[in-house]
Amino acid sequence: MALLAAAGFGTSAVFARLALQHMRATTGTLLSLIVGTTIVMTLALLIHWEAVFALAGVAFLWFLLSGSINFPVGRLLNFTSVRLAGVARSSPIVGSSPMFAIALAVTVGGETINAPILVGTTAIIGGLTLILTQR
Amino acid sequence: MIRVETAQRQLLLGYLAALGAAFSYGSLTLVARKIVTDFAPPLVGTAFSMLFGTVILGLMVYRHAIVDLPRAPRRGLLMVGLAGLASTFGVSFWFLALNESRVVVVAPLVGTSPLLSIALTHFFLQRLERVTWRTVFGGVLVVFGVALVAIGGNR
Repeated sequence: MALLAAAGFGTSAVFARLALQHMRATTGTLLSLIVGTTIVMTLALLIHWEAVFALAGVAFLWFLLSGSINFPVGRLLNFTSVRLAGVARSSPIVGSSPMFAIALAVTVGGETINAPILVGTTAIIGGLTLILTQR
Repeated sequence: MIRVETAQRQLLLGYLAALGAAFSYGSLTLVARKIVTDFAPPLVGTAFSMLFGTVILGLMVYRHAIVDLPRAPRRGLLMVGLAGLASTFGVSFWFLALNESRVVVVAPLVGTSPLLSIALTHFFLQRLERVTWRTVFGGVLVVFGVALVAIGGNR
């Protein structure tokens, strides 16, 4: 299932590249979101009907925060990078997001770094440097 | 000369946008953790986050869509629909995988998606992009690093 998830994310970027030849990244992001939202909301209502109607009011503020960060910023920038730099270069850069998550967890959340995280972060920085410094 | 400079500027902006997206997705982890821990099942959290995101983005860029949609060929609309579908497919299987297995197993496997994108680009988008060994090696290093970070983060 995890590999199917990777297949979904991997092919999405390629389809986006093909689509963005014909429209702006803003339009592409919005259309892809409309398709995705329709499917996910339908699934959520079918599977978690009771949980949806039992949601606390404050939860919607968190959904608003999450939605604002993830889609008008994250996916729009992702699609913009696919359009401007191409899939092959942008995908690994966007895929480095766990490094930023760890950086925030350490600086804001007060979590500690261990050896795998240190080596992993070094590898990510090395990979990003290789991609970002090519012409 | 001017064309080369424009292409390099475009590439630089693309890199900056990709780094911005990575930072955005990375910072989202803390918010997502709070949502699934305290408020809602992951699928419900995703559904409402996507709904809010769609509405906000729609209000920001609907003028672009009004101009672009009548001009876009059917193939472009089909591809953007498939992009949305594939992304949703990815999110759904991600949650299902997390339900069946531990993050330490799921995250490194899901993190291989850039390698699949690179492979698909090499085989199907040769007309649009050239995949270099430097990109492949950089992608492998990033995926390896993400796997280690996932393992270290769950210790």
